[in-house]
Amino acid sequence: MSAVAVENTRNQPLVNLRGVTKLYKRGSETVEVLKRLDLAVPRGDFLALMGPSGSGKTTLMNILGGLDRPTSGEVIIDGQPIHTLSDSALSGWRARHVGFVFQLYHLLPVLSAEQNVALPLMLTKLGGPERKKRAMAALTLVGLEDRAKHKPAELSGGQEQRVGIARAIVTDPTLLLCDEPTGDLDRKAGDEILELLQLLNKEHGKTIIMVTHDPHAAAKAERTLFMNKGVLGEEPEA
Amino acid sequence: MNALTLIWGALKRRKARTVFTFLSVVVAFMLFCVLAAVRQGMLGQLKINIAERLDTNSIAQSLMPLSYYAKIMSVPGVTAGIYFIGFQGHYKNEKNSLRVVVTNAKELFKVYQEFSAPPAQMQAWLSDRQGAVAGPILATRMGWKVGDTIPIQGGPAQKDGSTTWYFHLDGIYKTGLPTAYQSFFVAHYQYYNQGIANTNMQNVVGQYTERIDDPRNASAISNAIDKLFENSTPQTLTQSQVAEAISFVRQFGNISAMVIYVGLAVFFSMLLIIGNTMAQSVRERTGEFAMFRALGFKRPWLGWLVMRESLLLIVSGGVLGLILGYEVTHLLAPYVGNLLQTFSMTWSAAGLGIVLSIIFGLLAGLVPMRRITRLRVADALRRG
Repeated sequence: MSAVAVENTRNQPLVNLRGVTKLYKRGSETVEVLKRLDLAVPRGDFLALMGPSGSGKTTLMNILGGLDRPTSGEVIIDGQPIHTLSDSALSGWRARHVGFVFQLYHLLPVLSAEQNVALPLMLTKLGGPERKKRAMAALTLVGLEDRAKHKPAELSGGQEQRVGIARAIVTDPTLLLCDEPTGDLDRKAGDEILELLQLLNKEHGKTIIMVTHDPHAAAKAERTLFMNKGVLGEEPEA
Repeated sequence: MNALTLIWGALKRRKARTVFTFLSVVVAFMLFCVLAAVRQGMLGQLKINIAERLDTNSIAQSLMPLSYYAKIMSVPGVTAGIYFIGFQGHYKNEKNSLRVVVTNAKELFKVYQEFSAPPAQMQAWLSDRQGAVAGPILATRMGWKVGDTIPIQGGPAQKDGSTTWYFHLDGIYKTGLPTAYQSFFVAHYQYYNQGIANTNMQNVVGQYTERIDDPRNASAISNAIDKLFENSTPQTLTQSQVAEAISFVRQFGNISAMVIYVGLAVFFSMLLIIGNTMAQSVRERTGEFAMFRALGFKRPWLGWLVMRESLLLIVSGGVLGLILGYEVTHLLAPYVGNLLQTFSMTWSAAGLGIVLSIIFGLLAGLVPMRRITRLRVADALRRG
């Protein structure tokens, strides 16, 4: 790739959705969950997505993360049209480019914090010591290096979510997708998580898209978009 | 950390369930071993009993005079013959019960060529009136070694009134035949016959066994032997051991088949329950598998992870079940040996057991594997 091409890629939005529609069948009825959506998210952005339940936020996140496919339209992430990828290729793409942070953490209870963080590295060719080193680095970044050997049950909710974030960033992904990351936490723990996400965004340049119901959480993002009945807007519906 | 860490972690998740499932597999395969041993007990006799050997019994199921022996041996085609009788006794205490068989030792290993003993031990036995040889399993069970004097209590009264018979263990024979054949205790007929007090029990035998030159002549030789005693009391019935075994299988075959079918039904039922438990265990972890998919793990890898979990549980349980089952058949052999002399676990049954455990491991893993490989990640993540 030439220097000009690299510069062009840098100037392009990291996330680019064009005319994305998602239809679901519910019995004999067809529901249009996303309606010809266009979205551009620049590299390094911290975007909050808000909206009422059933507005299509999670569907949009799943499409952005390659967990679901649009019925029509284009999903281009970092120059890669992911809607054209096969299931297997999409799995590989997720492993390299996306970090997920879930509301319910989804940690394996039988593994230690360090092992949970190292899970995505099983898909790499790194050896055991290097995986451990990277997992510890991620845990240090989220402030949990002293909890590395603890099982999830021995951690608080906030700490579990920090482990979840460490797991999301351990492969150094291009994009962090957070689905209600503070939804299961009290305000104090939630604030800590949001500060951590801000740190990852500002200090480490991570592009973050966060779905939330909480205006307080959304306020921590650089900008907020509102989803209503499958349509994105700058303002919440009155 | 590797796939094995994840599998082991999944199995440790609900320890009680894993332990009970594992034990179910172990018990199922122990049952398989016992069934295989019963089958071997039924059919194995057909392989061991050879057409070159004939058994002569009293039609009236009474004892026969020793004088028949010389006449039997004069029949053309009979190359060797033994007569024998036995009594039940015990060594030291009644728990160590055993059957003492007395015979004309010189001919024994000519008739039963599957048995052998070191020449020095054989020579010592033949020249020792009180001598005896024992099977290796019996000798081990009783803690005997060659040279020991062995008092067998609870036998028939001797002329001096004693019911304890003293034998010298001159040898330990070898045979590749199943367990029941490795637990005989064989002594000289002459010693017994001269020592027994009951004169009605002197010079009588329970059975004759002959070796013949050509199995094709078995029928003719059998008829010739029985013809010798058609005007005597008791009359005899001679038949080849193969014919006896077939008759035995016919007599008990249906009962045995029924036991095996019922056992197999139980075996398969247990495996269905195990399969269901596996499916339930995976169903409970749907959210975790969705997380794996989100992280980038591919469907085949996760499917194979589930399959390996099923295989690990069932094959390891199966192998342990087969090992324990082998021990159980060993323990049972002395108790069923009279009826099923070839009751034993064979290598082919063990091999079949391992193959079955792999097949069941694959089958039990198939349903959860399908579930995981068809998982809708977005829905599963939402459900948690």
